[in-house]
Parts: sequence; structure tokens; C-alpha cells
Amino acid sequence: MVILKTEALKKYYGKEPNVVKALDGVDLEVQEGEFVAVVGTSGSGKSTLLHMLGGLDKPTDGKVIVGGKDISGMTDEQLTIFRRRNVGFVFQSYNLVPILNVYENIVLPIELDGNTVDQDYVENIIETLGLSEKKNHLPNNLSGGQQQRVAIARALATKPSILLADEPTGNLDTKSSQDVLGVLKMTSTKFHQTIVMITHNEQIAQLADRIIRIEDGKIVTMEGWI
Amino acid sequence: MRNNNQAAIWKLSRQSFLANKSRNIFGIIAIVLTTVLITAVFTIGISLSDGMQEMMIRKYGRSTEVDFQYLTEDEAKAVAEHPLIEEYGLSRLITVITEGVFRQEQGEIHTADENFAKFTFSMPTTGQLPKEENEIALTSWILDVMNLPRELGKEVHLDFEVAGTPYSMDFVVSGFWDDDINLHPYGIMYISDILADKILEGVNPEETRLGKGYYGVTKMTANINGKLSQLEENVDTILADTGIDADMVGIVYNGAYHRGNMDSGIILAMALAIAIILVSGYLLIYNIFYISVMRDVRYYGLLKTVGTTQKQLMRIVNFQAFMLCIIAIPVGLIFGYLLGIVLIPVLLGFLNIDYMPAHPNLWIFLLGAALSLITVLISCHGPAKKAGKISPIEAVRYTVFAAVSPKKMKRGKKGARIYRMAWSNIFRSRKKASVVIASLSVGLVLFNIVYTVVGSFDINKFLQGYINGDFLIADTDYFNHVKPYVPSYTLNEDLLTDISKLEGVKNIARVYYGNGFTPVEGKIKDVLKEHLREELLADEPSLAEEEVEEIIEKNISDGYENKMVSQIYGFDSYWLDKLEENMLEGSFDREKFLSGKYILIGYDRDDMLQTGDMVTLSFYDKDGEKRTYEVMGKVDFRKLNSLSAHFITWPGFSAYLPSTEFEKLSNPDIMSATVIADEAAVGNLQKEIGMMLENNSEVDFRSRNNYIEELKSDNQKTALIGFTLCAVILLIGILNFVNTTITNIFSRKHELAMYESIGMTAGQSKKMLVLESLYYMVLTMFVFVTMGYGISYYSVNAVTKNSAAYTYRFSFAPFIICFPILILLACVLPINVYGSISKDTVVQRLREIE
Repeated sequence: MVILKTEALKKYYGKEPNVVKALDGVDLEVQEGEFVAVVGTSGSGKSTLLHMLGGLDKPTDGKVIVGGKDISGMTDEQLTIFRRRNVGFVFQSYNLVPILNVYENIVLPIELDGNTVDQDYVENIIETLGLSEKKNHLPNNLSGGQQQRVAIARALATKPSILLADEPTGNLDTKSSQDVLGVLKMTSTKFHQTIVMITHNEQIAQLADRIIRIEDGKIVTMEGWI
Repeated sequence: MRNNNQAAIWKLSRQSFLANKSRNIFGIIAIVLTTVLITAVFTIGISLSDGMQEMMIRKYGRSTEVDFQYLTEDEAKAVAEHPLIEEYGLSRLITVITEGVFRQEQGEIHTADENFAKFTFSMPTTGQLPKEENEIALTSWILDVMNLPRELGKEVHLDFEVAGTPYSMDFVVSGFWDDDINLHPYGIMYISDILADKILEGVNPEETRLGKGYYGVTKMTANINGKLSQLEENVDTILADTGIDADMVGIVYNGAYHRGNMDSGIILAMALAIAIILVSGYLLIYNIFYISVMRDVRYYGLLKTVGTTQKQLMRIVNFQAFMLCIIAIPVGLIFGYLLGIVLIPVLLGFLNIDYMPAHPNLWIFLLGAALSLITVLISCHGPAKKAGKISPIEAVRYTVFAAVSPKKMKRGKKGARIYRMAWSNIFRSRKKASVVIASLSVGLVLFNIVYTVVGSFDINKFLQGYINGDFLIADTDYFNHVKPYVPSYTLNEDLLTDISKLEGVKNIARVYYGNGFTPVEGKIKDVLKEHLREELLADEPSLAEEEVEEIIEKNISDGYENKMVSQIYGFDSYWLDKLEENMLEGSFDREKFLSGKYILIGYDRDDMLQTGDMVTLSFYDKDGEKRTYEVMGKVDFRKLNSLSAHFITWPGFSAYLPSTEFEKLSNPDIMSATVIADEAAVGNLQKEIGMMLENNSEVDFRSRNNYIEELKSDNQKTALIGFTLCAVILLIGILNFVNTTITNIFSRKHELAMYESIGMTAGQSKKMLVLESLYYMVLTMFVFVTMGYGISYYSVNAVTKNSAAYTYRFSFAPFIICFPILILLACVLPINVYGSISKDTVVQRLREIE
């Protein structure tokens, strides 16, 4: 089942004659439960693509369909709500809320939505990601790898349709990187979670089910396409 | 090691300065406000001090430092030529008139040269000083009492006597000037020297001053070269050099130049006001720079990484502060001075001081500028030090967003409700939060104090010092609080009977007054002796103890005729409640008191009489009627001021009798009569009593409404000044809040974008920010309600404790006035600021720092 789909997705920045075509007609389909890696050089448009998929930014043209819903026409408010229900983000810089402890950070999106927390599920995530000991810690007392694991847990907490990871290991050393990637891979299999991950590291990309290469705003090849 | 890096530091400072536009705007406003307040307070204080001196000079009737009252012409010449005399004016006393129109306020005929008239404010404002033999210049009110129009050329007839020779002369008015009869209750008239020479022919001033008639003596009023503090020494030198007997010539110094006490009061008030201003200014400027340094922490860290020393970093921050001062302080000085100028007339009018235009005093500006600069530098010191101490490694890693309290753990599984996140957020920088709350609180607490003082003004309590019923009728002199009242027998029963027949008059309550005498014996004698001893020893310290004793005994038996004066009041029964209310000692028994066998003691400084003592009184009229009373107790005479003669005699005491008893002892002089009327009839009675007394020059009246009107306007003036200064301080607090809120939201731009990326809607973000602001207000409210009310309670009580016009009155009004405004601000401001930072897309905002 296709959970994520783009049709002729375009994102242009600036005005003539200085138009930058960050995305220039991207067609992409991601199956439910698939772990996709997007690779490309700096400025290739991979981050822009991720932002479009997650509804952080609006396309200039084309469609983004998540779980059957076209999000390209939504207002900011609708997008924000859409994000917290359907998309989990993992950023390079963790982006944890410094004043909240680990647990509170994880359940923040759920509570922002005004829902009650599915305790068992959240506990399950926390345990799976090895954060049980750290539940009451504040983020700045955790190592980079631990912080990123909290970010992943937060992204998973709402049972999102897709999890988008933007260079999740960019700030981490080799050991922590492997640790975080292991967690992502495990998430993909254990929770059958759809994941789109951006990286510029080919080696890391190899862990994914499929690698999409993007250059100058266009998809170049699709490896491992089933 | 000297290192020529000035240029580099200057360049960096300039760049940082220019890069911080919004900080600069807030900084400038903050410094301007602080300077405005300081300058305004100085302007008011200094002008007030000058104004008071000016008022004192007016009161003393001359601007010169010293008077030589009774000189002969030769002596005057000698003194005038003395090098220590800077400038002088001369006048000769011809005579004094106490008859005719001058029966109440005596008239004095003098000659005067231009200087004398100028120094004593008696230069004719219309016309000129007399030149011809038949000309006269005089104080304008003399024309009024003579029923002459205030016009030049009018004929004035005077009968007077000089050294035994009577004169009856007609003069032509050559000039006149205005003078306040209450300040100077005597009428000055100037005649020409030609006439004076004729009249004084054969009169020897040297003899007349021995005979104390003083005809023809020369009065010199002069300014002395040299410092005011050495005035007396200088005058002594002049007297010694000219060989003039100081006792003979009657030296009088101008009291307006002795004003130590008055000034210290003003200085204290100014110091207090300025301390408060400095504190609130400090809180604001400190916070502005603290926030600015925290925002630029990476920049300073970077500078340090590339080799800027701690000292240099501090200089960079201080330099920026200095730049702000250069712009802000002059502006503040000008506005502060203008504010001061606007407020002074109000204040001086309120204190009944003639308004003197305040001169731009260099000191005001120097002090204002210096204090502002010092405040800014002190405020900057902390933040500058912080900038200097930044560790380069940490600084580069630091984002404002990571600046969190050093707490490691945070219990709680309740998750992250918006309101709880907001609460945590305000404590991310405790310093910032407490400074803002303190800053807001200072303004509010001050506002509350001023409001409470104004609100605690108790008209009824205050009026009790002046009037108890609706109208107070008494001798004209009685209303002149400067002069002691002496029994005048002008207010008679016929008049009161007429008034009592007017419609609406419910009651007329009289107070009788007279000087009684009581035999000097026992404690009374001891006190009198002690008093006489002090007087005697002050005059002649060399007397031996036996001599002193002898003189005193003689004095008591001969001078005092073995009796002491006491002020005796006779109260109508209407006032008995008032006596009972104000008992200090003993218990009041109405029936016993009315029996006439008892007396109540008021003023008795030396405790000569105790409850239970017997006092014998006589007025030496009614055929020497003498009666003895038992002291029933003591009454707080201060509370009965409105029923008193407005002065006390010492040694001596005052006492109260029922009027029935008073009449038996003395021929009753009705000092005052208070009319108690129906409320509805008051307006009408005001007119009717006014008409009744219109042609009666001896008796006057005041109504309660007169006093109330006067008081209300006075109270409004205090309020105006207080509220103006408070408003500015409150503004400083609000500015602190605004600055903190704006910089806070701007510095969290990235953080807020991150919230949005994980699903916090703009509405939720706004809600969180508004809640943060509201929490600030709630905390301020808490401080205000606990400390604020406590402080106002104590300070208002301290200020008003000894004042007869205040009763502490708790009021929620300041709370109700201020907080809706603050809460509105707390709601509107964050939403607006958020609007301006959320214009960019989430992605752009997220990228900004990365």
C-alpha cells in the first residue's frame, strides 16, 4: 500500500531571473513500512523534499499525498495539526525542548493534540529505545546519541504515518551513529514504521530498504525498487 | 604592557553597537526615562528650595542680609563707608501712628532712598517715591482702609506726633505698592526728605533712641561682602571698626538666609525619590544589557576565541552603554527639566509659595547627567563582566535556547501541558524573571503608596483642626492664625441670637476664653522657678546661685504677684462629647463636670497638675471672684485645636470648664461660636450669615465648605505630582517587561519553529507565550499584594502618623486600576511579537541557526 506519494512536486525559491529550483518535478511513491534513504550532495534538494513530505513547507507546484490525503493545499494551521498526527520528525540537531524532561518531550506532540497518552505504547517505545533509566532527565544532561533516541521516541509516540529523519546522525560520532541507525532500523521492522531518512553518507544509506538519489532537484535513480 | 589596540576595540564596539538596533532603542528610552526622572526631581527640589528662600525673603520683608535699625546719621555714614558693606539702603523713621485707621495695624512714616525701597519690596509699582514736600508714597491697603481709590494724586490726611509735637497734615499720593497685610501687619508710608528734615529739626535721634521713641533714627539695610556663613563675624567687625554699640543700634539678621533645617528636609525627600528612581532605572538598564549580552554570547565567545581579552570585552560592552548615554542623557536632561518646570508651579502653589520661575541651574544638569551615567555604568558592570567571562568553547555551543536552569532532573509524568511549559519557561532565566518582576513591582508599589496617601487623606479628620460644625463665627483676629487670640469681646449674644433665628440653624455652640490666674505654690512654683532660672542664666551666666535664688523669689512675688497665667476655656455642653473622646487621663463624668466643681486640664507641659489635685482660679474681674476646682483628668489639647486660641503659654497650662461655670468666674468673652445646621440649609445660611456680617468689620466667619474646597484642590495637586512621577517609574517597569518579552520571543525564534515542526500550532504557541507573560503579571501581582501592601501600610503610616489629616485607608483601587492594563499588555504584546517572527516559513526559521 502506498502511504506517501508525490506528483510532479516543484519548489522554486526566489524570483526571475534568480530562480532556484530546489525541487523540479519529483515523482515518488513510498510503501507502508518501507525504510527509504534519500541521498544527495549539499544543495541537491533532499532537505527541501523532506520538508515538503512533512508539510513543513508548501510546494510551488505539484502534490504531496500522505495516507491518501493531499496536503499541498492545506493552511498553516491545518498543516501543523496534520504534522502532529501523521508525521514524526527527527532532526540533525535533536530539537528537544530543554525545559521538559525526557518523558515530557516524548509525549509533547500527543498532548499538544489534546489526547491522552497511550501509556503502554509509550513505555514500550521508551524501553525499546533504552531510555527507561533516563525518563526524568532533562535533555541537556544526555549524550548526543541519547538525545537523538529521545527525538526518535518523540517522533514515534503519535504512531505517525511516516517518520522523517533529516541527517539524524549528522551530529554524532561513529558509535552513536550506529546506535541510532540500529534503533531506526529496528523501529522500521518492529513497529512496521514507514521511514524516510536523509543522509549524505552512502554507507548509512545502505541500511535502508531503498535508496533514492537526488541531484539538482530531480530524482536520478531508484535503487532496489520493487 | 601597553598594546595599541584602541582602534580595533573601537571598531568592534561600534559594530556591535550598530548591530543591536532594538537593544539600542530600549536602552535609549530607558536612559532617557531615568534621566528625565532624576532631572525633574532635581529641578523641583532646587527650585523648591529657592522658592522657599524667596518666600522667606518676602516674609521677612527684605532681600538684604542685615539691618542696623537705630543709627544716627553720623553712624550711618561711618557704616556705609566700611569696606565690608557691599550695598545698602537708608531710611529714617519719622514716627508711628496707632490711631484712626491704624488702630489694628499700625502705620509707620519713614523716608526711604531708592535702594531701601528696592531692598524692602516697597518701591512704588504705580507712581514714584515722594520728592515734593507734600508728597507721600504708601502701601496700597492704607488707601483701601481710608476708603480712597488706588489712584495717584489723591489727598491723604494724617494726624501724628513726633517727639511730643502733634502734626495734622494733608499729603498727595505720589506712589503706592502692594503688600500682604497678613505677612507684614503694618502700613509703611514714605515722605520726602525735605519734609522729614523740617519735622525732625530739633529732634536728636541719639536721645530719642534712649527714650525708645526712635524719632529720626536712621535704619540701614545692607548686604555684606563675604560668605553668608561669616555674616555675624563680619557685622561684628564693622561694629568694632566704627565703634558703634551693638545693643544701641539693634542688629537684625535676615532669617531667610538661615535655612538649614528646611533644606535638609527637601534633601532627604529628594534623596529618597532619587534612590527609588536609580533602583528602577538600574533594574531596566541592567536587564537590557544582560539580555543583549546573552543574545550576543556567541559573538563575544568568538571574539574571545580569536584573542580578545576579558578586559577588552568589558570595554566593548561599556563602550556601547556609553554611546547610548551620549544620545540619551542630553535628551533626558531637557525633558526632565521641562517636566520639572511644569510641575513646580503646581507644587509651589500647593505649598502657598509665590511661584518663581526656576532658572536653568547648571547643577541640575550636572548632577542629573552624572547620576544617570553612574547608573548606566553600574547597570552595565554585571553584563559586561559576564561578557568578559564567557568561555569561548561554551559560547560557540551556546544557543539561547539551551540556556536552562542547572537542574538535572525534573520529576513528573504528567507530561507537557501548555500552561506548565509556560511556567517552566519563565524560570529559564531566573535573573531575567526576577529583575522584570522587581522592576514592575517598584512602580506598582510606589503607585500604591501615592494612591494610599492621597486616599488616606481624611477631610473630616483634617477639618477637625479647623472647624467642627458647619459655620465658625469669631473675631476677625481669630482667623489670623499668625497672631495669638486675645479676648476681644466682639462676638456678642445679640448677634448669636439673630443667627440662631435663621432657618435651619440647629444649634450654636460657644467657646469662651480668658486668661485665668492661679496661685504660685507647690509644683507650679517649682516649674515657674526653673523657667525663670533658665531665662536668667541665659542672660547673665555669671550669677551666683544665691543671687539667682533671690532674684527669682523677688520676681515671683513682685513681677508675677505670686500667680501664674493659665488659659481657661468655657465649653458649651455641645462640646462635652468632644472632651470625653479625647481624655488622656482620668475618667470623664458628665454630671460631675457640669456641677462646676471640676476642671479638665489640657496643655500642661511640665505636669504641674495631676488628676485629683485642687486648682484655684481667678480672673480678677467679677469682684475678684475666686473658685477652687478638682482636676477631673487631662484632655489631649491638640485634638481640640479648632476650639482653641491657637497658641499656648509657657510656663502655664490650659484648662476647660463648662460655660455655665466659666460665666460665674469671669465676664465671658465668646471666642468662637460654631453653628450646627441642617444639611439642606447650609447653602442658604452661607448667604444669610454672610449678609449679616457684611458690615461687621470685627466679626468674620468660615464655613466647612470653604475649607473642603480648598483642601480638595490641595490634595489634587499632591496627587498630580505623585502620580506623574509614579507613572514614569511604572513606565520603566513596563518597558522592562516589554523589552524582556520582545527579546525573549525573538531569541526563541528557532525554538518556536521547532515546536511548530513537531506539531504545535501557531495558536498554541501564542497561548504559551501569552501564558508566560501572564505568569509574570501574576508573580508581580503576588509581590504587589504581599510586599506592596505591606510597604504601603508601613510607609503611609509612618508618613501620616503624626498628621492630623490622615487615616490609613486600604484600597484595592491601585490593583484594579493597574492590573487590567498590565494583563491586556501581557496578552497583546506576545501575540504581536509572535506575529512578526512567524512570517517566515517553519523551514526558514529552523535553518536560521543551523
